[in-house]
Amino acid sequence: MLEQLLNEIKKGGALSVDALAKKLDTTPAMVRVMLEHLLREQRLRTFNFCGSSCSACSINDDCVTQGVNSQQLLYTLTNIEEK
Amino acid sequence: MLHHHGQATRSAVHSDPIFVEPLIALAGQPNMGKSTLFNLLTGLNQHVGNWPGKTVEKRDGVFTLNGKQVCLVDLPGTYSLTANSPEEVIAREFILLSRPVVTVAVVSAANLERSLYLVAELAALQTPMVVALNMLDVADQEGIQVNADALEAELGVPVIPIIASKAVGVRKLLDVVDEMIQGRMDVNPKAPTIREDHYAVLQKLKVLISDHVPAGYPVDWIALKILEGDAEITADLRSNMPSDAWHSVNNILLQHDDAFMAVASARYEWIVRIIKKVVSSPNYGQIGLTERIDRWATHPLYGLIVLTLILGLVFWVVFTISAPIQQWLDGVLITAISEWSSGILASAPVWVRGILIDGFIGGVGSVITFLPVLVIFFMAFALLEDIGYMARAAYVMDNFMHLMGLHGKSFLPLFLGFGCNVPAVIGTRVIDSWSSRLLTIILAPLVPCTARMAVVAFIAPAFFGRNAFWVTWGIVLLSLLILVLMGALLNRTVFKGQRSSFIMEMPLYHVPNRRTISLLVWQRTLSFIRKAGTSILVISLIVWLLSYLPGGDLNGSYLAWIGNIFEPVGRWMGFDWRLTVALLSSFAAKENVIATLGVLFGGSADSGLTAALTAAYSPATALAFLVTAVLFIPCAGTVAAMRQETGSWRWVFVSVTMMLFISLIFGFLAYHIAGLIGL
Repeated sequence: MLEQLLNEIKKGGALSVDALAKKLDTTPAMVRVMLEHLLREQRLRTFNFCGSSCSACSINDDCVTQGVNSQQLLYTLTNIEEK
Repeated sequence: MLHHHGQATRSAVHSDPIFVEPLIALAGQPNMGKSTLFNLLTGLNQHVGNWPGKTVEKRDGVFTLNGKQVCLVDLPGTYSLTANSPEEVIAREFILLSRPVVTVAVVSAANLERSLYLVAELAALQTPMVVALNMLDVADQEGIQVNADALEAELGVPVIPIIASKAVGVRKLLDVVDEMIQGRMDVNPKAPTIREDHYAVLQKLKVLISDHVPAGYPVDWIALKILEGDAEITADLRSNMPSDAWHSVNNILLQHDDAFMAVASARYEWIVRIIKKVVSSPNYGQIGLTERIDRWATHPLYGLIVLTLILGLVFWVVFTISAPIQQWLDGVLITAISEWSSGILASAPVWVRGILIDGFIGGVGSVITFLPVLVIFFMAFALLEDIGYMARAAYVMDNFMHLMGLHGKSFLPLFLGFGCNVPAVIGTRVIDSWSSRLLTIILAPLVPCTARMAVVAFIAPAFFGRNAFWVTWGIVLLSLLILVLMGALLNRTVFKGQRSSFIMEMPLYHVPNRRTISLLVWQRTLSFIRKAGTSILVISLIVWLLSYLPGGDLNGSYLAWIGNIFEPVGRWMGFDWRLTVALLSSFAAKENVIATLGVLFGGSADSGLTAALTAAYSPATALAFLVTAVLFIPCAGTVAAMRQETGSWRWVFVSVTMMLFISLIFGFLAYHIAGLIGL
């Protein structure tokens, strides 16, 4: 199950938690739990688009992409898995 | 740390003399209500300190159970029992070495998926266990039903539904604990072991280590842990084994270094199987709606069409509602203020009139007139953001970019570029590969930012009226097309892109909140006004000063001199020196194009800046100007960010040169094609 999830992620591209849950025939909550597991195992890492660097941007308050910025659950593969 | 039988009392973890028998352990993941249950049972009879030799908080207490004192130990909240953290080591050592007579595993009925991983690990330890199925009320509110009897049958241990925060079901839980203490209830926890393809390996390991595992430790568990790559258990076992025996074990571990996945996968497959049998999830109308919409909104092809239509609608709304207001502000209000100021300042020195009327009112005033455009633009994006669409936009655009051969993660920062190119450049930090990151940094300025869109939204309606929408739309698509083509070209030639991935959490669609949207629009508008009053004002005054000095004659000014140097190039696109200078001023910040034109035309114009511009230039020149302005070299802020992120001016030079050539080529093409079709 966990391996299947990792393989789906390795295929690349944008994935949503819901779409992954469908592919693995499980619930989105289950996918989230497994993602967190892979995170703890350092197979994945989370990424916040700009985080603190946003404060340095002169139009931070105007940023039309704040909605996506606020999505804290962005996971990407770590170097271990990409290799 | 593995301890031989008889050494148990020397364990740092469980040597505290406060423990009285019988001993009950409370285990669970964080936020499952474990502490609530602990406080409920022990009240004031609890002791808080640290686990010996650790900085992890230890809580234990005493309470009376059916007339007899028992000791309850609140184990640290952990997700698993692998030695990832001191908390996990403490929890497993306590259970293995202190041997509590009962371990109460607190799980959340509202989040059983998360809770069961630890239960799977506890079951593998074969500790006498009872499961407290907590948070039934929360689960009920979310429409989640858990069949406790079915869960009990699956786990092989008693499962008692409780609501710890309301003390519901706790009496029954204690009765079961008492039964277990009295030895009147046998439990046989059913634990997952390992995925079938690694089963033989596990058996082989068990045979090899069985004589070397200290008494009291389950051999199955130790074998699983070393296959899982648990560094602490592996090191301890190695020190307990003769080197020959360890060599055989180590060979197996080296051959199956992927076994950790088989162990964890087996646990998750076990959890999924149980969840399917015991949990009935609600059929949320909201989830159904989100899924139905997403069938279109996140579809690789239809999703792009939906995105195109939505962005088209945004531009249409912006032009339909805001353009008339902007034209009124420019043609009536700013002109009236300008005339009124001229009257008041009639006797003031020429330079004072120049600074206030041409510099301040012409520059900042012109920029302020496109505030309605920005407000509607902000409102549209705030609405899309609040209903949950923006994440979908990023999702479908990523798939699109892959079709063009662009790197997956590149889309994330590029998407930020629609707001501002600075965070787009900084956001490339998400990309691990340096070459891909570099490519994305070089391409980022091709994404039309809000400031550039505002310039287009200001000028396009004046020249193209009802067709302004199509012109704007065409310019946006042109920039994105160039971005994709350049990306695909560079990706195939220089960066030979492998595909990487990212996972996004898609929020549920929901009815937008008026207050949230108003607040967002207000913050962004306020920020823009502040900017107009500071940096745009400074640039306007500098531009005015350059247009006034040395002799007060615009055509003989320093600004005209600068403009005339570049005018021969500007002529290719139909620009005179004023448009050329306006374009150059966008290097400071993109919206300065309007401020500069405002200083050069607006302050003293009779009927506003847009009217002055339409009188001075043809639609073909305006179109070429808009295309060039959108594709022109990045602003100073973006250049600084590029220098910072690439650590070299070389790549900044590459990007700036590329953008300069692209803008000139497409500006030239736009001017001549527009001329050919009679604009």
